[in-house]
Amino acid sequence: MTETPYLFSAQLVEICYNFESVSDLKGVKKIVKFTETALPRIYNLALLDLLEDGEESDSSVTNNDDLQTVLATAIRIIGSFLTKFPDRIVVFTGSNARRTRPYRIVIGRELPLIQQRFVVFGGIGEKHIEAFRPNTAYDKFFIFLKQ
Amino acid sequence: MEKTNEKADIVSPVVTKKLSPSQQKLAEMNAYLAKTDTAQLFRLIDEIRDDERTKQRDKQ
Repeated sequence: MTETPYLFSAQLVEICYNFESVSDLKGVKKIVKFTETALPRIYNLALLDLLEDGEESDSSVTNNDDLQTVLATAIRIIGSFLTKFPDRIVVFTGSNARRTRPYRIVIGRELPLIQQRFVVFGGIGEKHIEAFRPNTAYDKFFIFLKQ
Repeated sequence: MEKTNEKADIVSPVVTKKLSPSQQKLAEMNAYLAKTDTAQLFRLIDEIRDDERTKQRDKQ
């Protein structure tokens, strides 16, 4: 082949899962989006609301009084994703410190169940990563399959 | 006398594309991963997986 090729580009690899947060007052469409980072084995997770205008938001306040259920659903979705893509590592953080804390609480609460199949690491600041310990102020979370 | 807006002639518009929340999060995560010792992270993960495989083999 001697032809000079056209310039080309690649789309980011994104995998989306959808569910709905439901209360007596309203339903809110949620998206859990896994996006390939600069390190191909690591996928960033974003938990988003799909707004009525079609925009995605990570800062809207749903007020459906089901945060623990939403986060538990997100954890189950991570399990589904890692079952399908067993060599990947999922990393996530809240959009701010206030939103990161519930992740810590839910992971800590669900840890015995999670640890049956997965390993969780917590990150503090830019350097420190360790095996997840409940009640520790992590700001990043890494989850991957044990094997 | 006709008013002119001299600034409009000087300042050229800067168009910035707003990132979606997931793109923003990805950019922040990539910046974080660039500063983190990911080689050590991968080593830890590989060690844990090797241990698990050994445990499974020992069970069988």
